[in-house]
Amino acid sequence: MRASLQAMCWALALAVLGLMGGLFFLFADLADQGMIPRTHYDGMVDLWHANRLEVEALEVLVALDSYRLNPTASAAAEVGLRFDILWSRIMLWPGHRETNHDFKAFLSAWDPHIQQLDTLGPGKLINLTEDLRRLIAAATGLTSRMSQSLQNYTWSFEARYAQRLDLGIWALGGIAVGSGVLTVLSLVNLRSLWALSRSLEGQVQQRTAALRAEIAERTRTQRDLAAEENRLRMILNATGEGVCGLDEGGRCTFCNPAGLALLGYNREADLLGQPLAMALAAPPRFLQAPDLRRGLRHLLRWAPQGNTTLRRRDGQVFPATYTLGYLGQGAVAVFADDSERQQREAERLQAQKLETLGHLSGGVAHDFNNLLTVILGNLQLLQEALKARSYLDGGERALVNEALAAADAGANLTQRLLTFARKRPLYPRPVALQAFLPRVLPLAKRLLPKGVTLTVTETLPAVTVRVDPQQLENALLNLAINAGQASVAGGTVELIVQTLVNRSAIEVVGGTLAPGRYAALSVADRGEGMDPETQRRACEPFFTTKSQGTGLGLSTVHGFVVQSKGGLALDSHRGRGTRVTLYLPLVAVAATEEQIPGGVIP
Amino acid sequence: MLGSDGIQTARRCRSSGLGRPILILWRGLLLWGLALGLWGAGPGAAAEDTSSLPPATGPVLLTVKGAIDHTNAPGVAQFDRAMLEALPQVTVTTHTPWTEGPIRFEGPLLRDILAQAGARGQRLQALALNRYRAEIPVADLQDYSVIAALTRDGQPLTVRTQGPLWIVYPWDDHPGLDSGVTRGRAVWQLYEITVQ
Repeated sequence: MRASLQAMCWALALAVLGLMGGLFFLFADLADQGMIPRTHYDGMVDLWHANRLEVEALEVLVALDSYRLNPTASAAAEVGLRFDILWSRIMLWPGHRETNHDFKAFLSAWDPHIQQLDTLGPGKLINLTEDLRRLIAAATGLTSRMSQSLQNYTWSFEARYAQRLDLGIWALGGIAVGSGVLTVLSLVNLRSLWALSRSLEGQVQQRTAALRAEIAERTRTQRDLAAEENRLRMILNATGEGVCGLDEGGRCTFCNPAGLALLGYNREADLLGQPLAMALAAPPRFLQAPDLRRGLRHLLRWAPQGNTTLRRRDGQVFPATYTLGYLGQGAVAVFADDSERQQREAERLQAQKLETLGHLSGGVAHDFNNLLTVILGNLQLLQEALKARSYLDGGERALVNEALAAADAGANLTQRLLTFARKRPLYPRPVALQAFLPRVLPLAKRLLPKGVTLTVTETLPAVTVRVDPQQLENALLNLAINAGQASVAGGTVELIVQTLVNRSAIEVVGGTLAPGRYAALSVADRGEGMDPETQRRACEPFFTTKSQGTGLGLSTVHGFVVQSKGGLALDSHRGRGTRVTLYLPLVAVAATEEQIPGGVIP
Repeated sequence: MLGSDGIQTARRCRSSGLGRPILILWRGLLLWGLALGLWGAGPGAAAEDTSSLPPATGPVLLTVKGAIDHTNAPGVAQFDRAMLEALPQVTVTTHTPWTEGPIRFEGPLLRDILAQAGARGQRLQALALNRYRAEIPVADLQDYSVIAALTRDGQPLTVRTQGPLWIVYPWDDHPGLDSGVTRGRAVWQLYEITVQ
């Protein structure tokens, strides 16, 4: 807009300049004689003189004719005057070099006679007339030739200048008309064009500024959004709880990695679009109904949080806690695996139960032990007394002996109860297994049923453990009895002794083994094994699968091992047998070994 | 278009046609008759004339007519050689386009002659014996010492030498004056001036 106006102004200025120049050329320069070549001017002057000469000669002829018709003095004077005028012309103007001589000859020839016309006879007058006519004819020829040459010259002059000027005039005229039109248009539109241009520019600038601000705002918003989304995504990725988005139809819209892991999916894409009911072990009816939308609303309103059982992709189920929240038209579900917590809870309950049982049995055993001590003491006194009375037959002595045996068994039982309750005092000392085990093994072999053999690791490790040797012997014998009972006839019970350095956590009953160096004593049978439930409860006191079992065997062993800062591991598979491993902490190799008197547990 | 009054006039004369010789004859007779008649009746008419201009006693060289206040003949002011020579004589030495070398012209100022006749107009129509006619603005006479030359290099001008009166501009004194325009106004063989 501004550029076009500028161009228009330039065009206008140029047009005015051109117009002025043209006018200057037309009216100023052309008027200047300098434009016309001297020769041309001379040619025109010559033509003028020739023309005048012709006319003035004609005047003489006319005057002469007049005198011939009426020869008066005034007519003669007129002839003289016209002759003088012709004379002045010829003498003033050198004339054409071809004819000037003739003109002057005429003048000099007739000058004497003109002054005395009356002396001339008619013949002389006719001669004068003839000469005059010749002069006139010569002048006419001269005029004609000069006119022609001047015309030629003029033509060539115009060809050289005037035609070019004509072209220039036409061009200038065109420019003048065009510039006039332009001027009018400009003057008419200039003001409105300026106003329009300014208003348009203003609008454009405003719009540009607004657009810039908008773009900046959008960029900032997008950046903020991206940052926010990234932050949320990181939080979602970092949290241990499963977070899953649900649309209004209860279908998954997104799920974080923890949620995917919990539900057993590798990729989020596999879960997207899946209905909520898929992940529930026992979906309620309202979530199976065709109107999932209503079901989700129902769930959000009446059970926004709680416990449920979820189903993994592979079908495995696990307890979980969940929280549901509104998220736009749909919902967001936050859930976590609850099985560990439940397990811990169960273990806590178990420990509590065991503790209670321990207290109870410990207390009872203690009192009972006191009672048995009294009974045993009295029975031994009675036995001594009966030995002295020889009159009694064997029947009384047998009664006392049975009573003593029963009291011994009772004492033994109370000892075991105390051991289980971890209240029995232990007397741990370094025990070298290479020396200790060979003494125990014969006892163990004897306790096995007939047809069941015991095999022992051939090379026993030269290690020393710090335990109560009596209790270790009891434990081994206990395990041997269990293994022997589990074995079928012709079977084998193995005793495997190894050493190991526990760096990672080894699973033992009731927890994990502390890091350290251990001796592992395993007693394994090839019996029918235990089912998981039995295995889980094997160490519980009073749990037994045997018709006459006390349920205290394995639990006592467990109590002893734990009290000795070791652990007990059960490895059992249905149909493949059971292996019980005792982990006993090693002491420094330099520790002194003591001979421990063996004992037999009945 | 080419800026020469002389040329234009020449072309007009050339294109006047066949009736012109008769016209020239008639006008020549009329004028010379009138002039002779006036010359003959001059003293008598002058005695009766009450104007301030004395009558011409010799042959009339110049007649002024038109818008004039002073006359010495019916409607016109006539000047003979004596009357013209009685006016202040001015010498103009100049080249002319028609002659070789500088020439010393002498004669009364044209404006003095017009003042004698009491001319009131702004333009003059100068008529020559050879029927050449030129228009002269009075302003020219005021601006320049334009004379009606009576002599050329001391010799009286005759008809044969562009006389008896030749309007001469002081071209040499004013170089810008030498143009076709003033050349056309330099009427020789002047015999009549009409004031308009």
